[in-house]
Amino acid sequence: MIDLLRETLSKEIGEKKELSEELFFSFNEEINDKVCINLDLLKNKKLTIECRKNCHINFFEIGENNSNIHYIIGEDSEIKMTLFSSSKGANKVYTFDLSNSANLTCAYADFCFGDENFEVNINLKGENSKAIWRLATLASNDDKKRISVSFNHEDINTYSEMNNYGVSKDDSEIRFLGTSTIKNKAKKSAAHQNARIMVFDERCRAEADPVLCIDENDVEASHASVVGKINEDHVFYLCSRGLSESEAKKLITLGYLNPIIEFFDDENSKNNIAIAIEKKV
Amino acid sequence: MKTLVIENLHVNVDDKEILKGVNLTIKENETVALLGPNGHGKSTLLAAIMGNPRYKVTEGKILLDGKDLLAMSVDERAKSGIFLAMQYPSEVPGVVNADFLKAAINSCREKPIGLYEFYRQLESASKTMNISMEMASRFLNEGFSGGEKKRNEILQLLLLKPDFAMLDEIDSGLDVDALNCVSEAINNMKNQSTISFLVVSHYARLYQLIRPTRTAIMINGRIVIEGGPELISRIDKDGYEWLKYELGIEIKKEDHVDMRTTSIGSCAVKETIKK
Repeated sequence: MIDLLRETLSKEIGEKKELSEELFFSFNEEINDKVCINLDLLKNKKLTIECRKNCHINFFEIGENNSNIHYIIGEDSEIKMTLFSSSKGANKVYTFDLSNSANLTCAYADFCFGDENFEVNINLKGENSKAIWRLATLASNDDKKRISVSFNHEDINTYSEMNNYGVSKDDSEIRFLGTSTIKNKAKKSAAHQNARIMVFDERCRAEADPVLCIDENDVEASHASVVGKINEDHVFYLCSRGLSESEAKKLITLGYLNPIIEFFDDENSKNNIAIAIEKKV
Repeated sequence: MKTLVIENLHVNVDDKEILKGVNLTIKENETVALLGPNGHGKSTLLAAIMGNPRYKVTEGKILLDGKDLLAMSVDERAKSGIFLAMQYPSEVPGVVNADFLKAAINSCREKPIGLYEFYRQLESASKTMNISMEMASRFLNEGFSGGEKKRNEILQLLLLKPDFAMLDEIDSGLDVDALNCVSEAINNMKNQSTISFLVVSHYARLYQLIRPTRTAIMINGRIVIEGGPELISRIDKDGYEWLKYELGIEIKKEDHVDMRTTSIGSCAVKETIKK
C-alpha cells in the first residue's frame, strides 16, 4: 500500500509535482495497488491525481479536513475510491474525469458530526465509461448535511448509478441533490438515481432532490426518491417474530446503513464503520 | 395445556368494523381450518390476534391460557408462543435474513444461541424447506419469489417453534412441490409437538394434506358455523350459498372493488377500506 502524502513515489510507480496551491500525482500505466490519502496532510492544497491507462487502484481516504480533489482516470482503468468519516464535518469537493472504458466505484460512509457540504462531479467523458456511487449517511443532533452528486454523460454507452441512503435523527437536516445529465449524442447511455432518507423525529428536515437532464432520445434513465418515517409494516413483521419495537427499528436502520460496509476492502475499515454505525444508531 | 380463547371480538380497520363478534376456542394439538368468502374478515382475525396496530380491537377478549393477549405488545405475543405466517410477508431491504432469524430466535431465549448451533438449526430447517443456504445471506424477503417468501415463513415457523401458529393463505403462490414440502413440514411439527394451527386457505388441496381436526366458517365478520373436516369438502363442492338456505345467513357481497385499482394478490379487506 502507498501512503500517498507521506511517501515518495518511485519512478516505476509515477511522479509528483508540488506547486504553491496544488499537489499533482500521476500514476504510470498499468499500476495495480492500494493508495491511502490522509486529507489532514493536504493543508488546504488542491489535489489532482492522474491514473494513466489500464490502472487498477483502490484509493482509501481518511482525515477530516476540507478538501478539493480531482481524479483523472485513464482508458481501461478500474478505480475504486472509498471514504470514511466519523469526526467533524467539512467541505469536500470531488471531480472525476473518466476516459474511454474507465470504471469508477465510489463509496462514502459518512458518520461525521456538525455541518457538512459534500459535492461530487463525475464526468463520463469517454465512451463505455461507467461510474457507481454509494453513500450511507447518518445525521443526528443539529447536524446539517448537504450532499450533491452529479453525473455528466458526454459520450456513447456511458453508465451511471447513484445510491444515497440517509438516516436523520433529532434536529438534524439532510439534503440530497442528484443530477444526471445525458448530453446530445451520448446514445445508449444509462443513468439511474436512488435516494432514500429515513426520518426518526418530527423535528428532522430531509429533502431528496433528483434531477434528470436528458438531451438524447436513445437512453435509459430512472430516478427514485423516498423520504419518510420507518415503515410500520416492516416493524410489525419483525416484532411478530419476537423482536422488541426498539430492536426492530434498530435492525431496519442498520439495514439502511450496513450495506456500505461491503464496498470497503480492508477489515480494519469494515470494523471501524460497523463500530461508528453501532455507536450512532 | 395451551388454549386460545376468542370472545366476542370486534375489530375496526380505518374506522370500518370488519369483525363483529367473533367467538372461537382453539386447544393444543388442534388444527382449525378457517374458511369464508373473500373480504369477510379471516385475515383481519389473524392480524388482530398477532396485534397488528392497524387493526383496532373495539370490544371482546383474546385469552391465551387465561392471559390477556390484547394487553401484550406484538413481540410479547410472539414470545408467548403466537406465530403468524403472513399472506404478504414484508420485504425489508438491508436486513440480512440470517441476522434477522438469529435475532428472532434469541428473542425467545434467555441465553443467546451459539453460532454453531444457529447454523446447524438453520441448515436443517433450510433442507426441510428446500431453501438454499444462500438465501440466508440475502436481504429479508427482498427479491424473493412468491413461493420463496412463503417457504421462508415456514422456515421461521420451524426455527421459532411456537405453540400456536396461524397460517394466512400459505398455499397461495406455491407450486405442487412447494405445497407438499410446506404440508410435510407442518405435519412433522404436529407429530413432534403439541402445536395448534389456525389455517386460512381457499383451497381444499392444502387441507387434504394437513388434515384439520375442525373447521370454522367466517361470514360477515362472525364465525357462523363450526364442524368437522367434512365442511371443507362441502364448501369445495358447493361454495357458500347453501349456508343461506340451510342456516338463513345472508352473505354480504364483497364491496365493489374497482378492477383498475386492484390486482391479483391484494387483500380484499384492505381494498374495501380504501374506498
